[in-house]
Amino acid sequence: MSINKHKLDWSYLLLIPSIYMTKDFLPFWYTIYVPSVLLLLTFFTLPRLFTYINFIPIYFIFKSVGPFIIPETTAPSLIIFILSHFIQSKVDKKNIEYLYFFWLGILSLFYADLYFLIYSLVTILCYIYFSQENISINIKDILKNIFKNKTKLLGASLMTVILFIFFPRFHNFLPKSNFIPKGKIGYSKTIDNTSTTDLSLSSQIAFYAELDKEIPTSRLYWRGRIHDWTDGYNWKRSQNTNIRKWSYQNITKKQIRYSIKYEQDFDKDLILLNSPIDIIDSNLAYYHTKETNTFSSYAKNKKSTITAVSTDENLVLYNYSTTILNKYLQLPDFITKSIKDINENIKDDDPIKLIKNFKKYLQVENFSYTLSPGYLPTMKDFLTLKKGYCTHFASFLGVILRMNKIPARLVSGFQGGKYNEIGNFYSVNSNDSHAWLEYYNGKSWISVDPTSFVSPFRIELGGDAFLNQGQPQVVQKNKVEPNFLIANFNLIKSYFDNLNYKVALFFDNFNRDEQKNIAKNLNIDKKYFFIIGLILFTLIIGLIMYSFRDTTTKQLHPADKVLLRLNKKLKRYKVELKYNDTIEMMEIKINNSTIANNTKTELMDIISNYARAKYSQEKSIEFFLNSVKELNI
Amino acid sequence: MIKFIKKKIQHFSQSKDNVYIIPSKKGFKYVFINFSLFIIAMAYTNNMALLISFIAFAYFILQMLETHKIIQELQIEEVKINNEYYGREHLAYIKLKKSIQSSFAKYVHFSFENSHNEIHAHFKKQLNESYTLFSVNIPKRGQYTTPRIKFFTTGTTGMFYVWRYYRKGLTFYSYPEKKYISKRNLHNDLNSKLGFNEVEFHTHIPYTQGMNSKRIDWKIYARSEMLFWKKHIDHHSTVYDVNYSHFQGNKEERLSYMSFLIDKYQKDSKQWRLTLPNKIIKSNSGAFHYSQSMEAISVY
Repeated sequence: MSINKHKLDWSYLLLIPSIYMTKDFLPFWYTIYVPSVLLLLTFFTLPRLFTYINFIPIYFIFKSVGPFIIPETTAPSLIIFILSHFIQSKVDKKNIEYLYFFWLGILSLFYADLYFLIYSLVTILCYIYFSQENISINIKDILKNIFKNKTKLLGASLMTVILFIFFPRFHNFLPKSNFIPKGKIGYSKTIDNTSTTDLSLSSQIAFYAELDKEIPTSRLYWRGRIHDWTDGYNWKRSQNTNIRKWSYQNITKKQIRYSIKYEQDFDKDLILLNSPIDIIDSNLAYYHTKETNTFSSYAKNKKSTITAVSTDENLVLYNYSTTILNKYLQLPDFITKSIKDINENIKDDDPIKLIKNFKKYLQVENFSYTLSPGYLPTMKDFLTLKKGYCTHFASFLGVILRMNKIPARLVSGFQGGKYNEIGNFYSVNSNDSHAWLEYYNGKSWISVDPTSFVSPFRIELGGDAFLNQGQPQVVQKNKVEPNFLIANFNLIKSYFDNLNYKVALFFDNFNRDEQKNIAKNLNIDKKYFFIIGLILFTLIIGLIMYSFRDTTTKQLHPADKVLLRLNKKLKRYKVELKYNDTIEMMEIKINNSTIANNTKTELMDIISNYARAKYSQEKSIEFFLNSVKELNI
Repeated sequence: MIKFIKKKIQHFSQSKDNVYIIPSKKGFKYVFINFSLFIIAMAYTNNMALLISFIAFAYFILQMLETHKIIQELQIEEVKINNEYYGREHLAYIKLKKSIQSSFAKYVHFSFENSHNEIHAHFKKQLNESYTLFSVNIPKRGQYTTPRIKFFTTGTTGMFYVWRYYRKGLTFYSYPEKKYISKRNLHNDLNSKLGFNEVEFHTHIPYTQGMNSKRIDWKIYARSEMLFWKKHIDHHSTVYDVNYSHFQGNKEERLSYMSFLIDKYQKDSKQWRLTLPNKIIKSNSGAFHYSQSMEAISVY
């Protein structure tokens, strides 16, 4: 390791936050390794060994995401390659600035919000500032530098904005990148208790939901997929029947209207507030499966926005085929003795009583809620260890209900969310993902959440708040009135989160259709819209070029201005005397021209007058001017 | 075909005083990376990635204009290569107009283009803010014109290669190498009078290049900012004949002796007459006569 003379530059450190952004795909040690390496890079040139170590996480990326060339694998891998380039590079940082842009561009596949926008702009500006020579970190000097380069900054900003607004967009032809890697908490497409082990947190935004008013968190269940088939421990979705004659009794009293903007892919499932009634508006094609009361899109779920209506009452079914209920009583041929024994102790024909018994059993047996119960390959392991997370408890209760001939099904979705009072929207992230249960009471499907029996705070606070704040004691503490600073900080953060949401909304929805709308509002044809963009872009470049123009003619010596006048007279002889010509050069030009000999002598005198005017006294300019005026040629 | 295109490009570049610009290797890398990002952004309809690629593009355009500006604003006041004896380095200088931003001059380099007069001065040198002094090696004696000079820069970021040519060719000479000739040989070989000479101030004449700078009247310069030269008259006008046929040896040796003598007479302020097989320069003295004589033997 040797001292780095070239790269003593703090702008490297700006890349550290971006490692945090991709932490879901990278092993934990790498998130410490990278900042350390970047810090070392500001002082030292690192040996090759660091490059080799740097490549190790690629294995983990493909292990967690799968062997696919998708943004989730390529983006972190590319960042690793770029970092290796930084480590290896013995050249000046100036030669690798395009990698800064690429790095940010790759990250922007995952982040399209205000925070990332600010981070990107700060990184780019810092890079440009640090790449100058003789810079100082004094704020006064920085501001002075910004003011000095105001034309360039303004020009670049205008160019970017015009390109962004007017550049033609295409319709989506590749899915958005929003995959949650294995081992991270997130939306479950199947309830696979056998193979999953400890879960780690992931605060990636799953979706935003705009609601007029706040709903108590304990009632905030965002419904996704119904799982009806079980092997006694794991659950999955079987083929649903979608018979038109079934319908739900319309409940109009307590309808909640809301719009959802999805940020992740839920494999065609449309997550809606429990219980969904209908989708009013959507930018994607969807269908309603009445059997499960779930909504799905035909195409793979891209970042899309829908407006829907739900109710917090239980939907009453009529014309419901009871034969189909057998499907929800399905159980494996073999059920372990331990479950049979538990069932013997708590069994009841009435589902409410049975659930009450189940709750009592969990509490007596000291079952606890944890995201890291370890490896629990069978139900027996779960019952022995007596700890697990939502899918374990839901699965357990589901089996018990079915053993008592009560139709039951598992629901995967989200529970909780953070409400922003300024923008009236919930932000729900991966940590809020949840699984619960529905049983049929003869009239309608009733939701029951066994997780609330062992961890009521998980439901009261919502997944993200509970998992981040942790223990109930902290919750108690939070109930104390926040002090002035915290209250204001939260208020400012709410404003910022609201702005962030709006920016994210804009970035996601500004597409070809939006451009069409703008053109329509401006009463112009779509093709003219793009032509206007092109004209504006050219104008901006023209303006920048104008500001960059050669200003030397303005600074011409008065004698040089007279010389330009002389040139006009000499134009017909194709002689041009330039003000940066030497006197000798001028004389040669005149001698080599086709001008008459007596005029040549006159011109020689004029040139000597020019030399005097320019290099000796200011007064002789008039003399030189008169001699030029008097020249008859 | 390639030769033809090269010839055409060369012809075009020689005929116009333009500023040329192409992306450098780094610039092409930048374009490739940015284009890849743009394609990724379009494929995934990701507006944020698209915005980053547009910012990168705007930065690229700005760099292009800024680098172009450095060379565009480069105003050359004078380029000169001094006459010098063969074997010595010719002192040369480039003087810039004040208009160029001094902070940008350091990014500009210049090189001599390989021209017809065979000045093999393949060097790359950084330009100073206003006055750049450098030296040039000339392969043999003779008359030369200053070659086409290429001023080029890769700017502050090195993304573009911008250049322009300076083509105002001025004549300069590489005089024959001076070779000492002894006094004895001088007496024997010269068909001339040796005389004692006394010089006296005669009049002021405007100073022109090539005149001995020792005789510039600085008092007049201080008053009028004009250079005047003190002309002296030799009362004992002993004329020496520097005659090609009086020397022994081959052509170069003879010219070297002549070069030595002309230099000596000039230093001693003596009058001489130059006789070459193809040219005779009448007897005279002074810097102009010295230049005339040296130029004549340089091109012979």
